[in-house]
Amino acid sequence: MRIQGLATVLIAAATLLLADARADVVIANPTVELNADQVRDLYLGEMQFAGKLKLVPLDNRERLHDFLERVLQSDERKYTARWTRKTFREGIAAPAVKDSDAEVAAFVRRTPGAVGYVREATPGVKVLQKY
Amino acid sequence: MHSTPRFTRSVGRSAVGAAVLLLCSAAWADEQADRIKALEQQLQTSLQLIEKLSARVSELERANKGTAPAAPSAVAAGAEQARSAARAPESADHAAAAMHMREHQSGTPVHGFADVGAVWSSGDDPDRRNGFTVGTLDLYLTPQFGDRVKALMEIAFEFEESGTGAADMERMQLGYTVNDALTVWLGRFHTPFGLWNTLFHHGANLQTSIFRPRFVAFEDQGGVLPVHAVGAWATGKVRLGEQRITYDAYVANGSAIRERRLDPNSFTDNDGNKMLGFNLGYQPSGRIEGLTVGVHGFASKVKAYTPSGAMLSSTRLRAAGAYFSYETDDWESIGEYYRFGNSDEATGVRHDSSLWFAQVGRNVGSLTPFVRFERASLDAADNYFRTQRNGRSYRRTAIGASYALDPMSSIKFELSSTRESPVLLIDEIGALVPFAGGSYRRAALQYSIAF
Repeated sequence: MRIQGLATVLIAAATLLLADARADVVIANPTVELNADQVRDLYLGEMQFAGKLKLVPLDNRERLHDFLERVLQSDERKYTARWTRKTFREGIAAPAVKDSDAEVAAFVRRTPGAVGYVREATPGVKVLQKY
Repeated sequence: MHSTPRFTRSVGRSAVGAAVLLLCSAAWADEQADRIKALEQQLQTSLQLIEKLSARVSELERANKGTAPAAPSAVAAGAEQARSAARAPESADHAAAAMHMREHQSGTPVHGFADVGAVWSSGDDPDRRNGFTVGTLDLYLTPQFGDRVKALMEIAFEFEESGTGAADMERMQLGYTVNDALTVWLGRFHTPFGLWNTLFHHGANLQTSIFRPRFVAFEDQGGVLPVHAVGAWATGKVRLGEQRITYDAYVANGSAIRERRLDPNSFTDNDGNKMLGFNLGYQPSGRIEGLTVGVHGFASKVKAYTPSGAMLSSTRLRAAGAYFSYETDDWESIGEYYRFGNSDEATGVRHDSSLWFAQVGRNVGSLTPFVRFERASLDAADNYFRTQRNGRSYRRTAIGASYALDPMSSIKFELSSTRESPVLLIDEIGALVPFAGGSYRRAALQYSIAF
């Protein structure tokens, strides 16, 4: 019985490890401090500033689908439609789109207020959230 | 110590479990290996394409050296597009294509909407149309000048009833954002009452229906509300825990009525009376996330003039009301209510009127069928309404559907039935004009895009 329980725990741990290995991260320039709700607000166009700092959200084409599904509970169609409305009504620009993790990380590292999402964090950026 | 049969069974089950896990892991590893192999092949193909294009660019550069400076950049842009296309997964859908467009924007992008279609209406329709129509080409710019200074400029091109083309400066607003709670705009803007006017306005592809509710139509298309304003507008949103409060407060030139239309006095105000307005919204979260409810109101003094400039009437306008919208994955709905308590400046008599609409749509994949009800119950003696061409009581029911071809384009159809009450209106020169009332039907098709 004890061994059966141990096996179950090991399987669960293995599953968790695999799941964690699949997790992407939201990264930011070290000047940025945001919680998960604020990250969501930022990508929904409901937040542009953190204190006096102008935030600069970036989309990552490689990871857009998973980000929208896991963080915004949305999809490309709704996300595009939402930003079209936002831009038309409020005059705010949709997040710029980068092609790869390397491009996102490099932009985030050198731009105050920048926020992006990548497979794994690199030196010089802050991890805000795993998803 | 001996193993019991139960212990043996447990070990056996655990071993089977571990074996399943290992098999799954192996299968997963195989799947990953296949995926990597496919990606390597795709990368190899892309590299070959880039090499071919680079060679072609060099060849063209040699051929056109010193004669056509624009050609290499055009070819380079083509090569860049080809590289991007090579990067895009074969399964990329239209939404990804829209994102792809956004990736390559630089400078100040030009956004816009356009629509074409056809309308048929029965003989009693005062704005009878039968045949194909060109809708509006709406272009807007949102240049960013830094962290806080911004601008929104919009021009609409359309054909008027007379068939002549016209270009209207829809919006020309310059803003300064202090923080998320306060942006101040100056210039000409869409008056922020209700939701429809600022959410959709000329963005045909943004709205599910083809036509706006009639009383929220543009001033030059028979709308009876001041949907444009020239002045100052403060707007913002404040997060209160999980909820959000939005607000708008504005002061603008008071409208006038000329040629039976509302004129927002964009060049300058005709008198010292200003329009004051507010809009206060509430957006909860949790189980009812997607709901917006709010209250709004505006007040002004509106004078009607003859073409020679003589004043026909002066009305103190007071309007207040409420609105809601609710959007989920499956449903979308929007409704607005306006209550007018206008006073005639000459007689002091008060006239009460009300207008409302409610629209509900159901999202079934890319298809959204909808139904909308509109009512306008206007006091027939209110000079604010009866000096306007469409200042008549009516009720309308519309049904239709919108099919999204992709996030940036859709095909729609709409059927509506309208019943109007008889009323005595006042024409441009101040003469009473009887309107007999009646009922009519209208059918319309529209193909709309956003870009």
